Amino acid sequence: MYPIVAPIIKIDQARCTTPFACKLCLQACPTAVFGVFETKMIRLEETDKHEPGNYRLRVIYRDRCSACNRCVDVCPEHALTVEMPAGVRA
Amino acid sequence: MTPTRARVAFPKDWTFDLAEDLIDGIRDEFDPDDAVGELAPRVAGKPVDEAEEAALQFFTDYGRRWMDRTLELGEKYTDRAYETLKKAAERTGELAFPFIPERFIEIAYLATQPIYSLPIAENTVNTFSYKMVFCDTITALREQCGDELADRLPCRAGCLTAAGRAFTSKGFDVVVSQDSRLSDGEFCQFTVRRKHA
Amino acid sequence: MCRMCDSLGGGDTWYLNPKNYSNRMYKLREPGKRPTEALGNSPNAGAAPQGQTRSGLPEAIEAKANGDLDTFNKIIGDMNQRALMRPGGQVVPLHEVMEVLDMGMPVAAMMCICRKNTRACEECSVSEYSCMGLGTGMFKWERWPERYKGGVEFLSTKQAKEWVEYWDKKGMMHMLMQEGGDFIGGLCNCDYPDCGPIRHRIDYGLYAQLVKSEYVCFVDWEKCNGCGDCLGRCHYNALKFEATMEKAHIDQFNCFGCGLCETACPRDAISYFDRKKIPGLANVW
Repeated sequence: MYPIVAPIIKIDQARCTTPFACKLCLQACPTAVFGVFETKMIRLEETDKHEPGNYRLRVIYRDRCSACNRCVDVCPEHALTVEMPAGVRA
Repeated sequence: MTPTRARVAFPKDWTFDLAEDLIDGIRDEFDPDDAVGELAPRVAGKPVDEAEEAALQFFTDYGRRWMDRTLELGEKYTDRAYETLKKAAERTGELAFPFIPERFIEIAYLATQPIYSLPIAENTVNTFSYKMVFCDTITALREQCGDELADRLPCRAGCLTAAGRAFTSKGFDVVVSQDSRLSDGEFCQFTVRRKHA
Repeated sequence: MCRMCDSLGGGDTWYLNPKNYSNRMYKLREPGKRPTEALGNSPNAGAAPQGQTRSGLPEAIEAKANGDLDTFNKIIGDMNQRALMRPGGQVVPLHEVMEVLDMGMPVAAMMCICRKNTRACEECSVSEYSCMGLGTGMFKWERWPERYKGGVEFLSTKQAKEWVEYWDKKGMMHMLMQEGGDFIGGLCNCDYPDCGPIRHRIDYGLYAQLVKSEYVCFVDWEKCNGCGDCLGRCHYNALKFEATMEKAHIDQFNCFGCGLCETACPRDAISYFDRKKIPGLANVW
């Protein structure tokens, strides 16, 4: 293994409000970099995936991101940006 | 690709734990201290063989009454876990053994012994086995009837009868055995095996 | 012997020991202990996937992504050291999954939480459920519908076997998972990249999270005709087509012994060998 600097993925949480219902980026990513998690667990009740804020999209495996930008292309809310860190030439 | 399904919400008052009235009801009637208190005068002063015989008889009767009452109250005070178990047993045609009788055996011990959960050694397709590490009955026997009788563990008759009865009352043909004795080692272990036709 | 057989097997393979599946249905609340709050802790809430919150994997990944391999290696090393005392999952080939299912225990099909978290998969009926909960705890699944999103379905032994075979055909490998250190509570059908344990082991070297199976697969080149039916089923980069020999090739050190290639071979050219009996692999878990 030799050091590789990975791209920086930014999620605009104000735009990405129902990621579990949308799931486009989660299923488009070739290396499955993203994760989606419920923000609360309620006894005897299932979380409503259509209610904004009930699920949150997160970048889990950033080291596996190649900045192919497929997630950026599929996002209907334009909530994602993927860029190489400053000073790293693409 | 995305299936749609109504969101699930279950009634808020569902309980998955055992009802307090169920536990208290059985505890009141079958407290090990009281039971041994009833036995003690009947064996007092008797030679140990005779005392053991009387105690075995006593505990056989105690085990029968104890499990019968547990079965009665256990059905009366149901809980969501039991309802799910019954539905699952009906659906699969398999799970009734050992889990339905297991429920009543757990209730019987949780109500009367100083434990918060019953250590299960095995619950598989033909076998159910559990351990009693802390037992108030043998402690009461030592205190009220002396070590000589307690060492013979006459109370095993109660456990063997109760365990067998939990299964036979639910329609299972079983053999109950004792694999380990608290008086000799660290715990009593009782095993219920299904008899096959 | 794998470290789980060592501590839980009682001299035998740990997952064939019925003790490891036994569990009570009820417990009484100890004085002073309060019931679980209506709002459960959602350990995953906006944080890392299962088991990662305390593990430091997010920090390790962050370091690696920033090109800092020293920090990455140090965190992973520490995590492996800590995890040695903790049981994890083990890969189990299909024929032994069948033996496990013969023991009974409530078996409930349910959705896979890894696939839910990584690919936002929603599995809503028994024809879609790809994971399996074991043990009496499944009778209480309704307490947390979000955890068992899509519901559960209790299966008979026969149904459970058919169901695992179905996923095996689809290309999912099988593993048994420990719950709380003393109880096998999950039988998973997994693939890379959505499965957490496979990914953590393959990509990040967290070898204690997923132990290799008791077996290693070998190809009998007399029988293999190079048809390629097995290719694409390996999740561990162990199986390829060796053009020189025109046969399937298994890297024994990469092989996890899941047997997916074995179940796909139409000519019985792949077979299992006991890992413990192969000197160079006996300690490769």
